[in-house]
Amino acid sequence: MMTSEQHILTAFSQNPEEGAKLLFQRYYKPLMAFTSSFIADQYTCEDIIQNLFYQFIRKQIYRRTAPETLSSFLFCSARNSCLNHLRDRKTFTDIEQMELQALEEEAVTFSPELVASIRRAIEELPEKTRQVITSIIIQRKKYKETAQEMNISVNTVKSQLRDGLKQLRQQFPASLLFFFLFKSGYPFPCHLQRHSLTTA
Amino acid sequence: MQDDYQQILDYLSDELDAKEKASLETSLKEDDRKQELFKQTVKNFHAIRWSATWDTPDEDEAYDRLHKRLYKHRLYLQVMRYAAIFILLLSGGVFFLNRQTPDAPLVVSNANTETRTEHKVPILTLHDGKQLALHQSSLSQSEIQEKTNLRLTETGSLEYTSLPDTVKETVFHTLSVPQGCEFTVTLSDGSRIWLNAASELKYPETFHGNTRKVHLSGEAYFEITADSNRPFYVHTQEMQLKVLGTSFNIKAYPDETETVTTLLTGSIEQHYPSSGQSLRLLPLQQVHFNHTTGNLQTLKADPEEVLAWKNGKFIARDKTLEEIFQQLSRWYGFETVYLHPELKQERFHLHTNRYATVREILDNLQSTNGIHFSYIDNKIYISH
Repeated sequence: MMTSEQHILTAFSQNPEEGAKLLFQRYYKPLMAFTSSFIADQYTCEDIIQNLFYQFIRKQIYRRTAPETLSSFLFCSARNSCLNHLRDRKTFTDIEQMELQALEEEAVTFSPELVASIRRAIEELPEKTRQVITSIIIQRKKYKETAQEMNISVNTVKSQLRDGLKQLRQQFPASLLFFFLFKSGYPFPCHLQRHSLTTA
Repeated sequence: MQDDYQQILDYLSDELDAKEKASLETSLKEDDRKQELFKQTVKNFHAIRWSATWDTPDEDEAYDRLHKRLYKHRLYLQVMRYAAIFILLLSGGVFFLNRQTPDAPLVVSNANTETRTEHKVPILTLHDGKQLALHQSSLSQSEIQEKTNLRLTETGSLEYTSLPDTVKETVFHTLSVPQGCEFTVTLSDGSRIWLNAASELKYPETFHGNTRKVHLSGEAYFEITADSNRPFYVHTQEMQLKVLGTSFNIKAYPDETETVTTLLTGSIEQHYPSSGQSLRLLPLQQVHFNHTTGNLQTLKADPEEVLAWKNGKFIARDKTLEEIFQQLSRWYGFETVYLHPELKQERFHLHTNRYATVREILDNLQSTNGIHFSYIDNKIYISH
């Protein structure tokens, strides 16, 4: 049973240490997954989330946070900290912004249950398809490299990738539902956000 | 459809070059269905990636680290807290005993920080130095009525029409828009110019000869009437700009370190006398000229952000607090004091209505996290 936002905030109001534990259980891994999509270095991601949680608890931000906004607050803050970290890049292109928005939407609904079902579905794929999915998506290899390693053509790599995704997509009922329900809306009241919680 | 999907997969697999990425970007903006497909595919891709790395982070270790950081010094802090209270009480007592005439208490006034300043109006300075307040109520008594080529419209903008060719003398007018105002003027050639707060434009009452030339200090958006026989020039302190017929935005405030030009349509040529550099802009390009280093940087423009002021909005994407407050203070007419100077470089997103009260904007910002604003008289103090 997943810890609800209400549950976390109630715990904080009674005993912050208990709240911190629940916050960790619910959000640490989704936030790690989310931040690691921008920043390759795992230790930097850990530091960013560590700081986010630290400020959230230390500055008692939980006292001013409503259950509905908790997750958007955490993901927005994490995103802003990441952007701040990537200072050398002045702006994001439109396509990257779209990608970011989709990522944020996905990360909020991500859960251990979904992880388990995706893993199971990958296991069930035909051998070759699974290898292509793993190589391209998880190991981020190029089409050409994958084709050479598997001794198949680039076109076969492409078609296997499409087939694999098609089969895996059936494992995402939650996100598909999400897609149809919230198609037009950006679910986060995130117009005005400080980029980083960490200040000197 | 199949091709669209393949293109998206190629993008996510990092198989597209810059040109192909740009074309995908354009098609996503034009086609909502494709954009949804894109987002859905992004989600699938990352969900698969995340499921593979889900167990990598060491949650327990991270929790221990946080716990130590939060609670290690707990006892020590308790002791320090009581010690601090004791010392404060003691010194407070000594302080009050020694004081004969305490200062007047700080009065927190909302007068100027609550809403933008209303009482200031744009001023038109004529060639003979005479100044006219451009305000609806002063309309009837104003000398504007005496001028046949000039009128103040009901919507509060100034319109010039061309004088007959018999008048050959070039006469300059200066339009000054104070903090908290914006104003539109239509010049004698039909070109429209939107002036942002704290800006000044100097221009001839009627354009004579084969050039059209104006001077700008501050920020303005231009829609220039095409006339290939008479190029239009805009001069700012740091830059000269030549146009034929086009629309663009210039931000050239004397108190900023950059002059920023954004071209929306058409084409313009720029010259920077101090560094001797010249360049030609393409639509949707933005050029930043740094006054101290003389560096020129060309970026892709975000038209929504650049023209937000003209459309009654404030939009800042990934801007520093300093840049944001420079804009806000011009509109609301307050002074900004940074109690912690490092806050200036913090980056924010801001998307709000320009006619909201400054309180609404700042309260929102304050509620997001640790930043704090105090309002005293006409100043806003920013701290952690």
